Amino acid sequence: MEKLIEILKGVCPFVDFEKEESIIEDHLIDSFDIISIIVELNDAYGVEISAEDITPENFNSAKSILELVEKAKEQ
Amino acid sequence: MSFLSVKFLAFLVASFMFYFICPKKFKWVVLLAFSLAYYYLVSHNLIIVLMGITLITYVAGYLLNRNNQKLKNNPDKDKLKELKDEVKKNNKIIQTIAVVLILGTLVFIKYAGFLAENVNLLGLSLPVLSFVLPLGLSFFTLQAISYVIDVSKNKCEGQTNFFKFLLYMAYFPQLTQGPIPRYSKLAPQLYEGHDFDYKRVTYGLQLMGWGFIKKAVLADRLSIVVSTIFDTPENSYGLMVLFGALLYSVQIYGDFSGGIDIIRGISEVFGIELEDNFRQPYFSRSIEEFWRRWHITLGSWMKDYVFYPMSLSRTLSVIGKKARKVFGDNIGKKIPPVIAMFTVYLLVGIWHGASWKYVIYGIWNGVFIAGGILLESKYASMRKSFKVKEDSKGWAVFQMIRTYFICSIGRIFSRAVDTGTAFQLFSNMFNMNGKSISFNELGLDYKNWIVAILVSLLVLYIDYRKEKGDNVRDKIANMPIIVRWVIYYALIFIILIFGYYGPEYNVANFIYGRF
Repeated sequence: MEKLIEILKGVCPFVDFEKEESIIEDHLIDSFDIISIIVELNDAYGVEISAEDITPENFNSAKSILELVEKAKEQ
Repeated sequence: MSFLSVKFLAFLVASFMFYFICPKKFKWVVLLAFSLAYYYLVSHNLIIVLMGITLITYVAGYLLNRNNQKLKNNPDKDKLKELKDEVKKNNKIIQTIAVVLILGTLVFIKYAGFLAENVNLLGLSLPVLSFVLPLGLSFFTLQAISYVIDVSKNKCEGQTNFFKFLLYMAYFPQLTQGPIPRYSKLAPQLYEGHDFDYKRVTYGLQLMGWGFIKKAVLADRLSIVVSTIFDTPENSYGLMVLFGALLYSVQIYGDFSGGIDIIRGISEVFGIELEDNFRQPYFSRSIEEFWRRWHITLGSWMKDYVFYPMSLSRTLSVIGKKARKVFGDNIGKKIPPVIAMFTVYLLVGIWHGASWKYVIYGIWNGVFIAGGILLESKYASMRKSFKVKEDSKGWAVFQMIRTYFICSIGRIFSRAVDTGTAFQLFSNMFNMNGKSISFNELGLDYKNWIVAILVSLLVLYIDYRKEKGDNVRDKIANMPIIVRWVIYYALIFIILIFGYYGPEYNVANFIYGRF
């Protein structure tokens, strides 16, 4: 989780990823941030998160993003 | 064989009859036979290109399928990771070869002459080849590429029966101008076979009728005026050019969306639901929104197979990181998607045809969209300083009209006969002193103007109802039977009187049939 938070903060330094649980609904990040986040995650974890994974549920909290990474690792 | 010819209508009636008479199991064979017959009747020997692309795509799908099966059949968890990597690598090779071959065919047939002409400007002397375009080439090549990539990524299973796959590629109603389908949505519907259903068939015929009105009564009438203005630029200046451009937007909407309605209507009779290609595009409040509502299936193809792969690519991510350092986070993070988006609109432009005028048309749209994204904060502060009430109806209407104008002016490039004429018309538009052709010489008498205006208003009204969330077709279906039949008869008479026997001109070909 720590590694993930570090990556997320690198892209969006003003979002408190440790606490926030409705990042998308509260408009804390936009679609451009999501694209940057996916690129960083794909690089850091060697996974292939694709455009179909861009859903509000997958990006609402650090926990859901971590789950997304785990799922992508299995594929 | 135009969709509006008596020959095509007879062909269609025969296809409906055979489809419904035939046992369920063989209905797809009827569709295949009529599709191949249609293609051969229209394009003759050029059917070989469709068959070639189909064969390449089928073989690629077959090999990809066989690869993907390895993962399903292998329960050994220790070797799973290794196997996955191997399958991924092999799939990538097959996918690349297939896409290069498919795209190569498209580029060679459609763009070789254009490319050679431009390369020759650098002093070379390449042969400038020119081919007759096989019907629907620009559509079925995109449909083939999406299939290969989807099977490669295991999003859908490849078809093992060559003839069933051929039907997916050649399905005759949508072959000429889309909508561009996805295999997972269209193919199962083609193969399952549907029985005659009164309500569905009448819905289909109703949609076809509406499409005929938009195409034959509206678009073909306006095409006379638009041609007069665009094809004689020496007679078109100032507001006349602008008028032509605004009118062309109405014409092409009637032409293309009318064509798609006919195609979707025919398919509905067969029990096949095709995606809609339009969502009230002239209610868009920005160019970016317009392209999400216009030619939707091309836009979504570009989004899935160009925009996202590019935006998420390593190369653009490196550029994005550098951009963040130079321009700051807010602008920098937008650079990769903006580059990808600009590429998409450039490709959309070029997809329309091999000419610089289409490249400029693509750039026109790309610049407005990229500008809208990058200058968003500037626009927001401008709106604030002008005290614009963003949720007011007036502002919404202003934005819609602005979008309609920007879009129409851009289309001067796509409509003009060539790039030189496009620039001439564009500069003529700012020349208010030139002598334009008079309104009476535009080619329509006042009776035909009234018909065109009334049908335009009807199209606008129906789009407005749809925009408000009304299901116009259900509403008509729920009306008392007498009212319903009055509407249906009115539909038929409008087509017969004002479509076929109205002004003395031949039915024009569909504009998108050329692309």
